[in-house]
Amino acid sequence: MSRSLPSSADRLVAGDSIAARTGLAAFRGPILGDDVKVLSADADIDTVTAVLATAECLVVDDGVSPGWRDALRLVPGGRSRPFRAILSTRTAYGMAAVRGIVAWAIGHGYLAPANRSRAESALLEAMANAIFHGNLGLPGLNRFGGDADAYFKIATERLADPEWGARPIFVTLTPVGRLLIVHVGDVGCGFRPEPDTRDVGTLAGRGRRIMKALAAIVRVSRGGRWTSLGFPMRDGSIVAGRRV
Amino acid sequence: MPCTHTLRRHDRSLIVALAGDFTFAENVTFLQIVDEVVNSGLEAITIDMSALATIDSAGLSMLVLLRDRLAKIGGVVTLLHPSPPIARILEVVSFEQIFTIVR
Repeated sequence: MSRSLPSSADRLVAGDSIAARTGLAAFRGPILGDDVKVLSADADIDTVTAVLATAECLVVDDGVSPGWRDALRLVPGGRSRPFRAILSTRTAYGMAAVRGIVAWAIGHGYLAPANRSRAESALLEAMANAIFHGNLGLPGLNRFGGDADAYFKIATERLADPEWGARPIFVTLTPVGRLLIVHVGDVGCGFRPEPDTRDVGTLAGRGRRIMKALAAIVRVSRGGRWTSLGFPMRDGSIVAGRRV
Repeated sequence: MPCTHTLRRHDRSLIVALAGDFTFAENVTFLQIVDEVVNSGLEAITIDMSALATIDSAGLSMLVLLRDRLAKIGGVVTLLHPSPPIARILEVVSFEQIFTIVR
């Protein structure tokens, strides 16, 4: 996605300021207890990656529709989750956000650099589930009668649509024991994954296989609205005061 | 890294070199390539993956789509020189069962 360079993308503002600016005041407490980094809705892909990679707090994307602010209650708070982001569907789509989130985990010592590619690929699939089957309300490609052209067309149209594209995607990173747990959530109607298939030639159904192969843990909950991935943390990471 | 592609004809085959991230975002461009390839009449297509950084499930679906369309005219697709991370993804989804993969 091509975006113009913003003026405010990398600006760190206090919780009160973001509350006033975005109407989030009703959700103070677990969400706005920290400083908030605002990601401008028109940030370019390099800025999206940089803002997420260097976040020290909650990142809120200005591109999230005000109509969905109620859903921000779904984002767990607390110091145990050192990374939290609320992204618009449009921002979450693509490699820029994924690269930024994984870079954050590596930069803060939660993942070994050697695991970058593995984590990026698994997270890309979790984000794709949240975007396409969650917020954009699309079934699996197999349920589209195998018509890939039609599937890609309607998905592209919905991504570009201001209403669909402004729905929020939530991402949190939480160290638990020896694992870094990445939660990805959406505000869709839920999604029931199709059963695993042995048909290698099918057009769809590979995302879950990729996640299962690349992540230590894959868990789908809340009716398909949350995907949780677990990755082993690098040796020497300090979690809750102890070295793993 | 946005995906770029170059097409190069070699005897009776066509080499499509992909570079960057081959994800859902490339669907419009790649489906045009599929049409071009199918209409070219060439039956041997090689996808050069040596410069590919990332492929996702949508990118994999597009490769299957290309394979299915070519199969209807008796064509075959070869995947050439995937980098280790890409090769790992291809292995996970058992693409060696439906593509010739040259490492």
